[in-house]
Amino acid sequence: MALFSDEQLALGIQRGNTDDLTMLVERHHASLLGFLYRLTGGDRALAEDLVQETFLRLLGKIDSYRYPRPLKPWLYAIAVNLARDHYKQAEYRRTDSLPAQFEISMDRTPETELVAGDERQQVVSALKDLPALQREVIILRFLQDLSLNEISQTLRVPVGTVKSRLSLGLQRLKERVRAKK
Amino acid sequence: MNDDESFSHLNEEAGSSEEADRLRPVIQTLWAWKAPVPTALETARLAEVLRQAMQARRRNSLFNRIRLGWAVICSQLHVVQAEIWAASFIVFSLGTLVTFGYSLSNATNVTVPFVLIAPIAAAAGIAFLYGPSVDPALEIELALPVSPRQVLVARLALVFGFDLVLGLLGSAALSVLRVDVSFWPLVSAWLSPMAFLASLAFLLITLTLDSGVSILVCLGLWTLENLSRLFPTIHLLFSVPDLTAVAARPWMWLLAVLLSAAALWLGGGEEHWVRKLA
Repeated sequence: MALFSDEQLALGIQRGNTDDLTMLVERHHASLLGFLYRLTGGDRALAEDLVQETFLRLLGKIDSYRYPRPLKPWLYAIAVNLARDHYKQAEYRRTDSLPAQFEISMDRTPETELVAGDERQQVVSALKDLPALQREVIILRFLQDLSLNEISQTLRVPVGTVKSRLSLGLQRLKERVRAKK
Repeated sequence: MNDDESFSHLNEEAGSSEEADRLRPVIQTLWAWKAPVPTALETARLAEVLRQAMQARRRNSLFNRIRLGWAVICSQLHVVQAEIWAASFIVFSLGTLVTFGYSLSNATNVTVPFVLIAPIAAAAGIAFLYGPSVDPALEIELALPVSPRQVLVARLALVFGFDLVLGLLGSAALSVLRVDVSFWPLVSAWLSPMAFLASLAFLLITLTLDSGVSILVCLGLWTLENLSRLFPTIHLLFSVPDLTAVAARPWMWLLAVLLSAAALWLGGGEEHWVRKLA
């Protein structure tokens, strides 16, 4: 069991304790990077930028934190919003279309090259083809291990909506994997 | 998360065990999509960037608060009526001069002119602290980045602080010019009644927005208080507490704090201004 909860660390950060900030970063860096890496379709550089921006955004808003509000969903909510904003801006700038960007990062990163076999490529490819709202809940639930309540708090939607997005997302994922075969 | 836990999630979310069985290979394949794991060095670098950002933010935050506080006080310097500064200066100067030439043979610290003048002069200044003729348009007031309460505190601190400085300077001058006057006993004699009367004036002006009412009540109370010392028979008609007694000083301070807090609470809300001025 952790010595201090995330919420206690947040209180410490509010008081200006840098050790608490370091502890929080050490605790969530890997999981946030993993989440954003998957959410961005395997773009590690973008995921790293978004992780740093997520923590900076948390730091900027830390004074508005009220104990004992759960911190983890808040952290993930910031990450989700930053990723959405990034793609909104990318779309607005029309520099690259989203699928193309995904495709490049999926195909060229060493990590994806290590994914063995066509079947895995197909599943990952099917996941990134899902609508963003469904992709988010599937990643949060099955790859980040957040509870339904935590996902509900992260995305600020009722638990019932999370369940329906999960159900629909899984259904579509299965269909797309089958179609790609 | 182990496989059993994950598949129990899957059973819940898929709706049926058959459907969960069909989805199981998909989810299993998804797990094989490994995310990069940051090295300890990368995490330490990120923590360092954030530590620096946090320290910069704290420095800026403190600096910004001081700057904002100073800006609010400066802005109120122009809003407070110019006559208040001149009137306070003249009254405190006259009080110092009169006390300088006053025979202290039969007087105690509490009956010297300076002690009689300082509290009511401060109360009069506070009574003109704000009101319809003093304040800018309500819309501008409400559009400020600080609350009406902060504006009130700044204005109160400005006027009371000015009177306090004048009182201390006058007391210091008297203690230097007259060997029979000691600085601290003289300050103690006027400071607590001044705080009490000023806070009473503050509450009254907040409630009524009428400087005349505020001054009249404070002046009446203070006159009665001092007359009762000169004419003890007044005590037969009214029960007048001795506001200058040493034993009363802690109570004066307590009342001053309570009255000021009440005034800030009542006058700090935007609703108060909307109701009174709109």
